[in-house]
Amino acid sequence: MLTASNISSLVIDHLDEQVYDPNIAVAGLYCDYNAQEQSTTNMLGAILIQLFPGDGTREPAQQAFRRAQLGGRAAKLSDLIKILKATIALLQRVFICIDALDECPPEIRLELLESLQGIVSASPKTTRVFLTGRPHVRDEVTQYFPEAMMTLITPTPRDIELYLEMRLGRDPTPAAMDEGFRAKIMEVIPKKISPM
Amino acid sequence: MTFIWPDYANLRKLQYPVATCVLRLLHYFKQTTARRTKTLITQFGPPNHRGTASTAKRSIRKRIMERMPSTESFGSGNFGSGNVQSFGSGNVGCGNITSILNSNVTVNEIDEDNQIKKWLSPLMPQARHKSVQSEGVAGVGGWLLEKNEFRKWSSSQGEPKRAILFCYGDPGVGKTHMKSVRKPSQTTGYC
Repeated sequence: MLTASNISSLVIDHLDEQVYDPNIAVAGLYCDYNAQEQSTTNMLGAILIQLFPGDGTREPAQQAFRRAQLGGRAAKLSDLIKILKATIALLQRVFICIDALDECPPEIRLELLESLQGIVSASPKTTRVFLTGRPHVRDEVTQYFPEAMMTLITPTPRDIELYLEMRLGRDPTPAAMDEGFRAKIMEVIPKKISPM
Repeated sequence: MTFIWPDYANLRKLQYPVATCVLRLLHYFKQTTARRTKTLITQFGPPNHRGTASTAKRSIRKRIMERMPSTESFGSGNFGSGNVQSFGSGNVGCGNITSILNSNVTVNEIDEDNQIKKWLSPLMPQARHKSVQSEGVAGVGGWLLEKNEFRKWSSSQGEPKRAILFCYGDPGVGKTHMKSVRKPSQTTGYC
């Protein structure tokens, strides 16, 4: 009901809504256990593509693509990092949101964090990175970003109420429901779940 | 005479000697219109063409459109520079490209932009975003946007210390608990 992905999608939408300037870019990426093509290069590539609406931001990628003999040679991680740095340097602000780091295999996760570290340190004033993941990834994030801000995601009583209302609204057997039971659900479940 | 169509695999191989093709293109456009049309007819026209140049052009355009690769299949595949020769003689190849350009099927059609995107990544984060978006319940998690950390992160400008915000938590918290409350007479849960 309140997953890291929900939070990520909420943040991406929130940032998107606020941004009208093409020189401010929002890039979102969801890590996925099941994704076959999940490599650091592909992940950074997917982020880069989302920066293209900005003025002239296609050019570093275009030049690299042409140098790679029109894409005949596969994009390398080092290329991608260089292109990303050059592209971000053309923009005023860049928000990069990466969801569910724990769904990345550990070696890719570390490579990704290391790449991000390089990208952020190249333009620390422009780049803003939003990450989500299970608590065990926390140490890795701190390892690369000692100053990262941390926030715990846990549903608030209000979240639980909103969720229950939605679920009860979709009840497949509404006849079995009465006001008393409904009230009991709305009272007991939020208390049971929320640690807040 | 034999016709060598610029099929997809051959086109990709042809991209290699781009410089040569550009020179040939320049040479091609220096010619008179009549001469270009003639080249087109010999390259793409119906065998033993006897109609006017305009009817030939129409048929050429149609045939080129039929033969054009869809941009979908672009971007993958091997790039064998050693195979350039396999496309007939190099001259014919460049001639075909110039013909394509002249018949209003522009480079746009081949679409470098899409090729670049495919070269960069096969991942489609937008698709996942849409599915997550549709699962979300309006308002749930909205508190995060009001939180101090989030505000600092999203609004701070030029403060490298606030560049990273990490949100951690166990996914799906709540679902299991939901099953714990049931109406005694009922067998179906609410989650």
